[in-house]
Amino acid sequence: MELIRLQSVVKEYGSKTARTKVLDKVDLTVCSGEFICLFGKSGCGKTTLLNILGLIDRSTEGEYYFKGKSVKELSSGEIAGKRNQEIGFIYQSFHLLDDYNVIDNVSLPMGYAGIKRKRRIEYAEKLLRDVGMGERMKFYPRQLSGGEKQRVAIARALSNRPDIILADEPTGSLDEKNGTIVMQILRELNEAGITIIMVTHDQSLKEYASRVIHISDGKII
Amino acid sequence: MNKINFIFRDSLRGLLKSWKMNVIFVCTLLGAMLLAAYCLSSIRFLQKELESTNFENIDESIEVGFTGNLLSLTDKNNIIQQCEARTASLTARNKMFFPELGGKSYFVIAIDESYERYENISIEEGDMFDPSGDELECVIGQKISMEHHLSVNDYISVSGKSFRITGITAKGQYNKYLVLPYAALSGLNDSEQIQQTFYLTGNKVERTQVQYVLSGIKSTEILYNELSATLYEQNKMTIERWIHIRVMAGTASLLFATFNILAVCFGKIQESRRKCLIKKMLGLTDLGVFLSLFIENLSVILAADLLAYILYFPLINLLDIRNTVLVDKLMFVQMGVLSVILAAVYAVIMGVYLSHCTMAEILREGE
Repeated sequence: MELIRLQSVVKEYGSKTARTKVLDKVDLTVCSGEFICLFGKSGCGKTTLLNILGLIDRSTEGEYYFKGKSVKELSSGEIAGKRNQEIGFIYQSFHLLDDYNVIDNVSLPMGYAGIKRKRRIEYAEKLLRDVGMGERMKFYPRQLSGGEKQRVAIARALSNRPDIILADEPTGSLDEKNGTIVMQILRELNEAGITIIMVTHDQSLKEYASRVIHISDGKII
Repeated sequence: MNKINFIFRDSLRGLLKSWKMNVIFVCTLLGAMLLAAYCLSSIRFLQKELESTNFENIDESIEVGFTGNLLSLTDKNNIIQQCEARTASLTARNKMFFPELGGKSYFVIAIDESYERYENISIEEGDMFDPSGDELECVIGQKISMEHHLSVNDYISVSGKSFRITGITAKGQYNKYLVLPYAALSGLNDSEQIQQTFYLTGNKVERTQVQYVLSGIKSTEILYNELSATLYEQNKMTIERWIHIRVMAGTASLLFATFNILAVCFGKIQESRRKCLIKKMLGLTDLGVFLSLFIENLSVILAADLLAYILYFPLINLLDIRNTVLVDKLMFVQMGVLSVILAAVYAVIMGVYLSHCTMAEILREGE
């Protein structure tokens, strides 16, 4: 089933006189259940593409269909709703809130979805146990190692049972052992039916992907 | 409803979590408000004082002041110095100089024909004198009566004239005074006059009171008039100088506080930006981000306002060494109500401004 379709997507930054084209007429279709690796050098437009796919950023030109519906037709509230309930994000720098403990970080997206506190906490506990963080629920991010932070970020990405997870260099800040653990979790999630799009420049991660896409100078090659 | 409730509680929790920055913010706001309040209220008070120091503005009574124990003009500078020392906390009326009348036991008050309406003197024994009678009559204070064993219908000699005592004042009233009819003054020596009081109704003199000492003190009315003008000018200059100093100090401190607030605001925006971006990524709407920031900023500012309101008067009194800021109860209530209204308005404006700045940063980041 087609989940995402990009048609001639262009993304430019800068002023009228000095514009930089980051994405140049990108066409991409992602089907449900895929594990896609986006490879490319630094500055080639991988993260920009991921931000557009995750509805964080908007394209300058072109069409983006999410589950068959053009995102141009969606209001900002609906877009926020999709980010909250249908897309999960994992970043190299984890993006955990430092002032919140682990369980609060994980249950935060459920709060935005209007889920009551008891159910939020119960499900967050389950997710943290699933990623092996059951013993660290009351810890704050500063008290965790890089691998542990990334597992918390994965649990948070799963909190509203998304259809798709967008991962931007998820192993970039981790040692080999922790990197393997994180990739193993992502593989299990993919096997459970969640679509994963991962941006990386680590060629060794190709083995986890069902499809590999290379980007260079803003174009898919 | 659940979402809004969550955003509200999440914002307040975020407020407590990032307490260090918020404490700085509250302290800065608090300092600014207190400094501004101190400078403005003292300026206001000094202006009022300046107005009241001008004798032309006093419409209730004119008391001509005395330099009872002064025998020469050489003490003029000393008087001015004494006056200056006292001007800070005294009202204009009290500022009129009443130096010690040391060594002089008794004084004479002469009141005019309207004495019947003069309710300040209550007679305990006997009656008020009758100015229309053939005989010179007077009323004496209790102390004079006791010390000289004088009673009603006895006679007392003042400047060679004999007065029959018609009454003795109540305890505590005019203890050391002789009260005479105004008409009886004609035979007394003018140089003994130490005070003349005109009680006015509008611009008309309603009654007159003149005060003398019994033994040779030089009249200093001329000296007083000269001093009065000098004192007023000196007071005016001093007060105006203080007003200018406080305006400058207030302006400088407010400018400093403003820069401080801007720096803290900038710090808060930088701090909030990452947090807001993460929350936005997790599905918080733009309105939610705005609400979240707004609630957070509003709470911080209201906390600062509340603290300022509570601490205002104790701190002002502590700071006010010269006791130039006098606030009565009514003023306290008025200023309290005013400060709450101002605080609310200020909190909303600052909250909207800070939220707007942060949102603009986030949107710029999004682009």
